[in-house]
Amino acid sequence: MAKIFCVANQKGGVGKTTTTVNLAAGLAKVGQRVLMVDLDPQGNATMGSGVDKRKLELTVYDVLLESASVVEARVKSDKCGYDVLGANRELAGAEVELVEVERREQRLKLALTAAAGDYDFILIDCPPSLSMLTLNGLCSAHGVIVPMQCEYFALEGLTDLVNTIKQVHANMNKDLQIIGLLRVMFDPRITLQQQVSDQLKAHFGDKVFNTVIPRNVRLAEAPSYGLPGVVFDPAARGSQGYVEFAQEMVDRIKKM
Amino acid sequence: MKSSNVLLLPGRDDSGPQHWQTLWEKRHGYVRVKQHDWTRPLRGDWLARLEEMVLSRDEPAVLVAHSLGCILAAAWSARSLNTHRVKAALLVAPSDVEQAEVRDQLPTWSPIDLNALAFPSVLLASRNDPHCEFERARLFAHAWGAQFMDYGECGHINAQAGLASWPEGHVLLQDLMKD
Repeated sequence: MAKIFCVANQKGGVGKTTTTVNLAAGLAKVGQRVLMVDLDPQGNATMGSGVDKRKLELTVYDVLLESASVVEARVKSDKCGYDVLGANRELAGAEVELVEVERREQRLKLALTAAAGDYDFILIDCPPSLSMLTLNGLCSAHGVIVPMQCEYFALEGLTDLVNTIKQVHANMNKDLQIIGLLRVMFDPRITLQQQVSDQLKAHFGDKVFNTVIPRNVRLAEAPSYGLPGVVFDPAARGSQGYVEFAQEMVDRIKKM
Repeated sequence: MKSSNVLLLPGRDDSGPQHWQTLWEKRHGYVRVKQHDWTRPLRGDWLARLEEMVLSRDEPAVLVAHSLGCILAAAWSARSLNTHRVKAALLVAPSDVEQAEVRDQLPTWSPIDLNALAFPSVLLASRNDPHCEFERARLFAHAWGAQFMDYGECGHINAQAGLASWPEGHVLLQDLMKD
C-alpha cells in the first residue's frame, strides 16, 4: 500500500511544486510506483509533469465531487515515469461546492484509498493557503514534507504550518506527522543561509532531511519545458539532489 | 444602494465594448466579475470567482447576468452558503449549455441547476435567441422562481441586437436595486 505525503508550506514561493514534481520523478527513477496529486487550482504541478491541464477531461476536482474515481481521472506522464491526478482552475470551485457536504475534508482520502494498492508513493502538492483543499491533503496523508528556504522569515511560516498540522493530527488524522524539513534553493556561500540551516538542525534534529537541494538554474528552467528538472536535465546538481532525496525518502519510510 | 455592489456577470467570451453590460459599467460604475478565462469557461473557477466577489461587497449585491452568467448565477445559488449576500438578480438571455454542441464544448456546465434561486429575480427571454429556445428559457424561469418577461424578437439581447446602453433594461435593474 502506498505511503501518502503532502508537500506543504503555508508560505508561497518556497519551491513546493518544484519539490513535488522532482521528488515524484526521482522516486520513479529509483524504481518506485508514484502518483502525483495536484491540489492547487493553478495546476502548476500538472503542467510541470508534462500534462497539459487545459486538455484534461477529468481532474482531481471530479474526484472530490465523486463524479470520477482516481483510476478514471489519473493520467500517465510517459516522459516523467509517474501517474498524475491533475488539476486546473476548475478545482477552485470545490471550495464552494463542498461546503455543505458531510466529511468534506475526507473526500480525497477515501478516493485515494481505492487506488493506494497501485503505488508505493502518493505525493500531494498542496496550495499555499489553509483551505479546504489543503485540509483534504492533510487528512489523506501519513506525513508532510516541508520544503523551506534557509532565510530569516522561513521559520515564521513554519510555526503556522506546525500549528495546523497539530490541529489536524488532534482532530482529523491521527497518522499525520511532519516527516521532515527539506532545505531547498540552498547556497552555502551565503552566511545567513548557513546560519539558518544550522539553527534548523539544532532545533528540529533528525526531522531535517540530510539531503540539501542546491540553488540551481536548471531546476528553475525546467517548468517552462513542462518537465521536472530530474527529467529535463538529469545531470544538473539540483536534479541529482532530488534523486538523492528520493532515495532518502525510500530509506526513511522503511523505518515508519 | 452603492453602484459598487451591483455585479455584472458576462457570458462566455466576455461582454465587448458595445455590450450594454460594458456601457452600464462605464456609465454607472457597476463592477464586472472578471473571470480568469473567458474563452474556455470552467464552472468551478467561475463559481469561486463569483463567491469571492460577492463576499467582498459591503452590502448584499444585485447580480446582472447575461447568457452564461445566468447559468452561473443559478449554479452559485444552488451551492453557496452565502446567498443571503445577494439581494436580487436580473437574468438576461440565459444560454442553454445543455444543447448538444455546447455541451461538448462546456461539459462541466451540465446539467443546468434547476433549483429555485435563493433571491428574487427577473428573467428576460427573446423569441429568436440562437443560444436558447424560448420555451427552455421559460422553463428556467419557472424552475428558478424568476419573474418571466417575454422580450419579443431581440436575438441574444446583446450588442448585435442594437440595444446600445439599453435604458429599458436599466429601469428593470433599478427596480431590483430598490429596498
